[in-house]
Amino acid sequence: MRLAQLIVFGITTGLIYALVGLGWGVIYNMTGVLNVAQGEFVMLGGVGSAFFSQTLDVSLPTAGILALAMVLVVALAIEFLAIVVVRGRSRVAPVLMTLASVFVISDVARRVFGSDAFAGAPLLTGPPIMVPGVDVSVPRRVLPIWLLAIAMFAAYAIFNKTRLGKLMRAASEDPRGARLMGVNTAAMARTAFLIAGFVGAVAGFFLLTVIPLGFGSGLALGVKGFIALALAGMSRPLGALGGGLALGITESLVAGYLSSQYAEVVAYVVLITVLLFSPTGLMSLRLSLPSGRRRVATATIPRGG
Amino acid sequence: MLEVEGLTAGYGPRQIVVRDVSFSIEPGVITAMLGPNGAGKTTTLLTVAGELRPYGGGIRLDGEDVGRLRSHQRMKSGLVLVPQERNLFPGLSVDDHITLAGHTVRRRDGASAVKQRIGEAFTLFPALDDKRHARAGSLSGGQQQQLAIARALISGPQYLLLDEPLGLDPLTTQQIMRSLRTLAAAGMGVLLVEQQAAAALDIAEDVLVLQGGAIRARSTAAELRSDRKLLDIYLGGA
Repeated sequence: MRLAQLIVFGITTGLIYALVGLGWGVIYNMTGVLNVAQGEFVMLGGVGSAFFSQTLDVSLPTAGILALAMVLVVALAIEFLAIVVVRGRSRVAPVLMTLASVFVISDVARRVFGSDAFAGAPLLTGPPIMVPGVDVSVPRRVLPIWLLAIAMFAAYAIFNKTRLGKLMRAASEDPRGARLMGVNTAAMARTAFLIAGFVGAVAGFFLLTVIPLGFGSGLALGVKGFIALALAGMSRPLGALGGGLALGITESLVAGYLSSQYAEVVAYVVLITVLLFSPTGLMSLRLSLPSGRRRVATATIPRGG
Repeated sequence: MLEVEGLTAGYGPRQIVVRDVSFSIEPGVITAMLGPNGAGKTTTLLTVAGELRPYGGGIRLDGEDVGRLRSHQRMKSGLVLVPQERNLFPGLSVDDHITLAGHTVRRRDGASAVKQRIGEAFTLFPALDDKRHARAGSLSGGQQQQLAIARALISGPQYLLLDEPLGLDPLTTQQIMRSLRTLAAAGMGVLLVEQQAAAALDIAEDVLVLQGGAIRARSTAAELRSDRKLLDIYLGGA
């Protein structure tokens, strides 16, 4: 029964990693940029909800909406700096810009929200639910995350199979080529950051009801989300679900059978292992066709008769 | 009519390439923009297409100012670019390129109009019809050029802006020239930037000669062909 219990815990945390990974994947696949600040969206969503709830004396859901608005503004600001201002200047500049944003956001959050971690009350409570012999109350506490995850992944699956989705991935591969087909690539980049900000803020809001969150929680959560996505392949945001669950369950089992001290390092060991055995495939860009066939894009088209 | 007035453009305030360039392009006419390397031909074309922001001057399409529109908006207003690099997606098929281009204008123009244009594009370039399921990356250079033009036609442009489409094998060049004549005969304006001056003079009716970022001559292709002095000075005796 202990194994089943650990797996249930692992699935719960894995789902959170998957949501963070989905945010990474949406931006990467729509703009070609790695947004290192994805975890900050989660942190701001969670910590902001608790802070607004306490200081403005409003209900947690109302505070959550305020925090969501704040995250969307931050997401648009990062998009402006990383995409509009610096993307045309160098390939690494956008990533460095999002990395710099992590430290700025974290520092501003510490000054505004304080150094203490915040915790929120569970949204759904009740007596333990045993199935059979396994307490599934913890996943029930994060039932909204389950529902959100299912809805988001279903939406992304539909999006991934449509012509619009294909245009979006084409825009990340070659923005000029997409513009030549009438795509507003600037609006597409803004949409990607808004979607990632929404997913991050909502994940942070629900995560707050499961674990305490502080100003420094964002980077670690962001890295876990990145690993969840990288396990499946950066161009497969849906794969973040599998990657997140695998990571969450592995962490839970290591914490349960070895030591919780090792659980933290497991993610990095898994990432290093994947990088060692799949160094090129990890970041390869693939364009998925409606028929389900996958085609690997080459870098350039040669000219000549 | 496409009118360009006093256009100044380049790649930064300290790298102005063309200064105070003015010209107009008539519908149904193929106009070639010729000149030596570095004359500013591609810079002018990219600025008219909205890929570069001008530092001065205006661009009007049928009297309406389109100089402030972004490139995708200019495309939808009727100015469509076929860049030298083509910017195709190697992993996508010929059909994908055509249908995706149609997808972005379907709401504006209606499905039947887009379907008709797709049919016309494949009629104009029959080599593509046989390669509908082939990936763009597997096509020859000539076929890729035809695909780039076919993709541009799906939005129903009033003016086609082409950057060096003729530097290919003779058969493909002839095919593309025939297609451009057909499009012009149907009323489409064509602005052709080309290094292959001889081929461009064969197909164009009007010619603009650029040198040092300024228009040095404007004439009909027939007049220019007979003016050996002008040909020698600006076009290396083409």
